[in-house]
Formats: sequence, structure tokens, C-alpha cells
Amino acid sequence: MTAPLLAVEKVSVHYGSTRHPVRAVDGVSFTIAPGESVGLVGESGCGKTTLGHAVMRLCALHTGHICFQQQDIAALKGRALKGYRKQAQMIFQDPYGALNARMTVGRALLEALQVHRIGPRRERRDRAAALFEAVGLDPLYLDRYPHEFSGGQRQRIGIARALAVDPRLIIADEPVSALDVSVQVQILNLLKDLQRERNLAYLFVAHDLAVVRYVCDRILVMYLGRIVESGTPDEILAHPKHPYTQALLSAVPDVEKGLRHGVAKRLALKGDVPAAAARIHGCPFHPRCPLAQERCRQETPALRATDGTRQVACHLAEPGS
Amino acid sequence: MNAPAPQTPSVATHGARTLWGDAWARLRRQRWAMICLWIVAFYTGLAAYGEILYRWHQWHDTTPAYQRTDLDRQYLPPSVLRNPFAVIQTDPATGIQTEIRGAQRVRAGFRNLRQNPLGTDGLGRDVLQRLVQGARIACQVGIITSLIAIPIGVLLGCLAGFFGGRVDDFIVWLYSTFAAIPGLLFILAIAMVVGQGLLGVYLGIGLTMWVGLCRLIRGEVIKHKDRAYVTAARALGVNPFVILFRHILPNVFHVVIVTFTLRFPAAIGTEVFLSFLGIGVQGEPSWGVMISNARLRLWYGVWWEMAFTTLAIFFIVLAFNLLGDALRDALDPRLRTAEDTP
Repeated sequence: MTAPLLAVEKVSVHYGSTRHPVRAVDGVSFTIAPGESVGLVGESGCGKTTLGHAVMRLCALHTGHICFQQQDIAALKGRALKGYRKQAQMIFQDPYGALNARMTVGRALLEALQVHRIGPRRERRDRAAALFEAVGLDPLYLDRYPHEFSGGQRQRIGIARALAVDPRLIIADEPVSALDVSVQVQILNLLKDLQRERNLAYLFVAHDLAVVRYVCDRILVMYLGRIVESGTPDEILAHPKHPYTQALLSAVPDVEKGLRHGVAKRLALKGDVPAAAARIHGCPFHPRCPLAQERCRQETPALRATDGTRQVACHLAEPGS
Repeated sequence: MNAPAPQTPSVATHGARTLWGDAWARLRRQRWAMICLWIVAFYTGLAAYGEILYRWHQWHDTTPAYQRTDLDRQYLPPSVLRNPFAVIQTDPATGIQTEIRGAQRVRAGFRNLRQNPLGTDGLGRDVLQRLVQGARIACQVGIITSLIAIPIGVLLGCLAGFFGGRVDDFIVWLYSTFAAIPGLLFILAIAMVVGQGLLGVYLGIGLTMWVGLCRLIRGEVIKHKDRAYVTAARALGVNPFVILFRHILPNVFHVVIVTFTLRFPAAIGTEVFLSFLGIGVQGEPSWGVMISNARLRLWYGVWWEMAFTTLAIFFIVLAFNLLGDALRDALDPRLRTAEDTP
């Protein structure tokens, strides 16, 4: 296996007071290889977006390390940090909010080129036009303002801005969840094409399993700031091992798909996600788990390999099943 | 490659529209706002004319009409009330007085109408001319106090909202302290320090007016700094000051415009009040000075100086306030709807 592009090691991110912190991300480890796309799924508030922000160094880590090409990004400052931002970029969930309404979209692209001093000044506009074409927009519209575009077009502009610095890694924070279903497919296809052309690695944050399955090589399922299961999309969707993943899958409102994946009975979870600041003893999922046993209340299960690339954090998942 | 994105026809058919352009179009459709804009423009024109007149007389070292006293023409009522067309002619030879008639009478009547059309004050000075000078001083006060208050308020508000922490604590403490001092006392104190006159008025009003703007800007910046477009700029590695002044400030600048239109008449009002009290303008016909003078003979029926001065103040304050409200509606993105754009 080649050296990973991004290695996240035991990362925790805490919010709020030091006495009662909100553990948004709690000891998460994973790697992303160059050109690989990794999906991060979980319900709202499980820490997916925070993890994405931590990787972008938009929020401080409590513990752990994030290494990009064997370099700890927490230590980066000034020019080195700028260099990292040239390597890793972000696509945002809200295509309306992610563009400055008082700036033409061409200016937004030029700014990305200016900040990183890419290309000679005179050629930057041509580069911006080329980026526009790469994401399937007409360069004639470079001088328009964001409110003159549709949601899908704006998301394309957001993608063009992220691509402006020619990054190796893109953190896509729910890039399609705010779009119409018909437009979602267009954007997902665009992202897949760009990945192939430019050898991009994605950290693809989403709550929609179908979306992640379409784009990703590997899926990480997150619950309450921890990764509870990881594996290839086919493995996870066909044979979810963690009870939370099973519940997540059965919640997909598609009867046929639910039957096909063998979760015929809808597995509705009891209760709510525990209060963010609550500290749960044992397995974080046990208060809502239909299979919870005494051991789950005592011991926190570690993420362990079951078979092949599969990893599950559950006492009850037998290896090799 | 991938299929081209569907372009909506509206994008293809017309040129780029800025949000400012949209706001202007929305303002244009409000009739009252446009009337108020014209009134404000009219006052500005008057003020400009007054300024030219003032400079011209200063340059030539002559006494302008609004300062020329004429004790024969004390307390003349407005010309319409002076029976302008009853023109008496005295024959120099015989001393017989006759009323002239016909075209000559009309010509003489209009000449009379043009003289002191709004009457004169206790020293025989023309009220209309003095009103124009009052407009000049009012506009000066509004503009100069804004030039003092807006940069302070915008800069401090931006810094406090964006950087938070100690910077925010200090700036909030600073403006709370300023807000806690009764405005008038503060202005009086400043007038004591720099001496009576317009400078004290400018500084006094300017240094109290930034507080409200600072607070508003701070709140808006706090609202904007966690928006996705700011996060995007941060992820791109844009300098924080560039983010603050080139990304956030244009998005909160409508607050400055609205505050300016609402503060302008307030500054005028304060100036009038200060001049009325005698700590403002000295020796020049500000509206406050005029009201102060007019009150002396008001009970003897000399109503015109008081009436026209208050009317002048009334219209500009009303126009600015209505305009400010309309501007807020036109500029505030929260009230915007998608189909509102033509």
C-alpha cells in the first residue's frame, strides 16, 4: 500500500467549556490514499462536519494528529499553512451561502488564484475561464453575481473555486444535500469525472447513503463523534454489522431497497441522540441499541477488523460473519 | 465530459446585476422614497448655493444679503401679505399720491413680491436668505459629523465583531462608556474644551454618534463571520483583514447607509438645539440661531421667521427619515424574495 495522503490519528475536537465539553469528534482515526474517495456518513450532529473542518484546520484539535503527506498540519503556520491550503480544499453544503453575494463569481475564482499566486497575473482570467469550462459552465458568466445562478450552477462554481488551486484532497461537506435530486446526479457525476481526470482524493461527508455509495470507495459510519463501522460500500450496504448502521440503512425510505438489503423490518431507533455534553459510559450507542447487553454498558468497544477491510466497533459483531 | 449545466434564460438575456443595482431598482419603485430623495436633493442644492454665496462674499470681503441689517425694514411680513400690488406713486412736483394702474402696476407688484418673500427679522435681514444659509450649515453638520462618526463606528465595529475576545471586550467597554455619558453633557464638555462654534458641534456630535453604528456593525459582522462564504475564504487561505474588509464589509455596508440617512437629521436636530442654547454656531444664521431669535417677538405676531425655519427643518427631517426607512427596505436582504427582482 502506498503512503496515505491523509492520516487522521485519534483526533478529538471539543467545543464549549473545558469542564463540560461537547465531544464533537472523539478519538477518530482513518487514512485516505491518493485518489481515493472516502465517505463519511452519520446522522445530524454526529460530528461529520466538525471532522471535515478539523481536517481543513478550520477548528482546533483537542487531541490527536492529522498528517497530510506525513506532515502534521496542526504545526503549520503562515506560508506552510497556505501551502497546505493549496493542497486541500473544501466544497460546501450550502451553494447559496458559500459564495459572497457582493462579488462576481469571476472575482471569487481570481481571488483563489491571487492568494496562492498561481500563474502570471495576465493569464489568471484565462485560467478562471478554463475552470469554468471544466465544471461545465460558460465562461461568459464570469462577471455575473451569485444570485443570478441556480443552486446547481452555484455548486459548480464552488467546485471550480476549490479546483482553482489544483488540490490533491477535497473535503466535500454534503455537497449535494441542498440540491434537487435531478441536479444531485449531475454534480455527483461532475465530481466523479474530476476525480478521474485530476486524481483527487475526496473526504465525502454526507448523510445520504445512496449518494455516498455512488461516489465513494470506502465508507466510514459515524455515531456521536466516533467511527462505528468502516468498509467498502457494497459490504456495508449489503451486510451492515453494527446495529447503528443497520438502523441507518433501514431508515432509507425505499421499500424495495430495504427488502433487497435484507433489512425487511424497519429498525426504528428508540429515543434521541443523547445530549451533546453527556458522557456515556460504555458503548456510546447502547442507550438506543436494540441489542444492548450488560457488557455494552461497561466497556467501550474498540474499532476492530472483522474480515478484510471491514472494521466494526461492536462487541456483538463476530469476526468473519 | 459532463453535460453542460442548464442555463436559466434570465441569466442569458441580460447583463450582470449587482445587488446595489437591485436595491436601487426597488427604491425607484417606491414613490414616496423618490419624492423624499428629490427633497433631499433640493436641500443639498440650496446648501451648495448657500456655500457658493458664502465663499463669494468672503472672497470679495462684502456683507452678504443675509447679514445686511436694514432698520427701516424690521419685521416685515412675507411679501404676499404686504399688499404688493397696491403701489402708490408720489408725484415729485405736486406731492400728490396716486395709485398706479395697468402693466406698470403688475411689474411693480412683482418687484415687491420678490423683495423679502418670506419677510425680515428684527434687524431687517431677509429670512429666505438666512434659511438658505441655515441649510448650508445643516448639511455641513450632517456631512462632517458623519465623516467623523462613520469611520470610527465601522472600523471599531468590524474589529470587535470579527476578532472577538479581548478586542471585542475592549471596544464594547469603550462604546458602553460613551453611551453611558448623557449625550448633551458630552457635547457641552467638548464645546467647553474646543470653544464655542461649529468645531465643537462637529466634534461633539461626531464623537457621540459612532456608538450606535458601531454596535449595529458589530452585530452584523458577528452574524456574517460564521457564514459559509467566510469559511470558504478562510479555507482558501485569504488574509483575515482582507476577509473582513473585502468580503464581510460589503455585505454589511447597507447598515452604514441606512444609519447615515437616519443619523443625518438627528445631527441637524442636535445642531439646531445647540445653536438655540447658544453654544453652537456663532454669528452665522443657523436654523437654531434663527429659532432662538424668532422667539423674542413671536407673541407680538411676528410668526414668519419661526414658522418658516421650523418648516424647513420639518421637511428635511421627514424626508430623511422616510428615505431611511425606504432604503432599509430596499437594502435589507432579509426582506428580499426571489420573485421581487424584475
